[in-house]
Amino acid sequence: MSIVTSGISDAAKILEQTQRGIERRCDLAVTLSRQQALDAVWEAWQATEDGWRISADETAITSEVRDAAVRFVESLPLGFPQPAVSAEPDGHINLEWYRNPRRVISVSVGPADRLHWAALIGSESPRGSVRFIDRVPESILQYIARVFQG
Amino acid sequence: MIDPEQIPDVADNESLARFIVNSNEKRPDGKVSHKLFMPYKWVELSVNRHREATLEETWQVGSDVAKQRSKTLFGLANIRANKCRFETLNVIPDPILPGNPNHANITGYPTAKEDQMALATQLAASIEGQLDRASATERLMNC
Repeated sequence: MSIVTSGISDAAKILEQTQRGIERRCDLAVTLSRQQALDAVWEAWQATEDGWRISADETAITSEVRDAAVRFVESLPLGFPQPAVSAEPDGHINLEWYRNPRRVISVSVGPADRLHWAALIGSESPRGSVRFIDRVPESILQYIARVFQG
Repeated sequence: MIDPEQIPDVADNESLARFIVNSNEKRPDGKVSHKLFMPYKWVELSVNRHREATLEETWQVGSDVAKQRSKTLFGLANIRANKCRFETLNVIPDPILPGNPNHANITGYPTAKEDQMALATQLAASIEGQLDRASATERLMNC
């Protein structure tokens, strides 16, 4: 978030200081929330790195998948709700935004930066697969927002 | 349990149990995650028919399944068969004899992961009830 100021009066300076204070608090709050999601990504990766913690028919999460999930979380717009994070048996990392069973979207981060996603918004069941190239696809952002609307 | 010599088709109104053997398949609000209905490497998914089975028998099957997979049985989620018949999905008997004539499969999962996720999410939203270990034990003791 950037602040552009043009005023030079005392009032303008006070306003600028106030705005910067709000911005710092906002950044801190989002960082804490985002940090929890990032920690969960690392925990999911570490859990499957320890081979004894996964069964024979499960696949360990690679560092490539972990890094893609980290970049995805870091690319979420400021102030966006953060996902619940979990490991999947096929070696993907699942990011989920859940409000209730009919207001939910899941994004599965896989190898080669591939995202598989599916949502349920009422009776609507959109889904897709897309390559993640450093920006969260607009369609996914819109469905995350819709999970929490209304 | 169902007579192994006469396995009927799965009727639309039958209740089916899906065993919860991973902690992340349950949600904090008591609902289940779509992960419970993901087939992952397969295109079909195991369920157990309640038809002609006592809760104790069904629970024993779940315990055996968990043991075979070196997992913990956290509970079971119930879903009506007709809720498993949409898009490409169907439910068919798949008795595992001699031990479990009530076994069935939800078949017809597509291979694309996003399609599997979408169907699994709809199945998770159609759950009619679930039992955790404590409530099942209590009910069994009261039988």
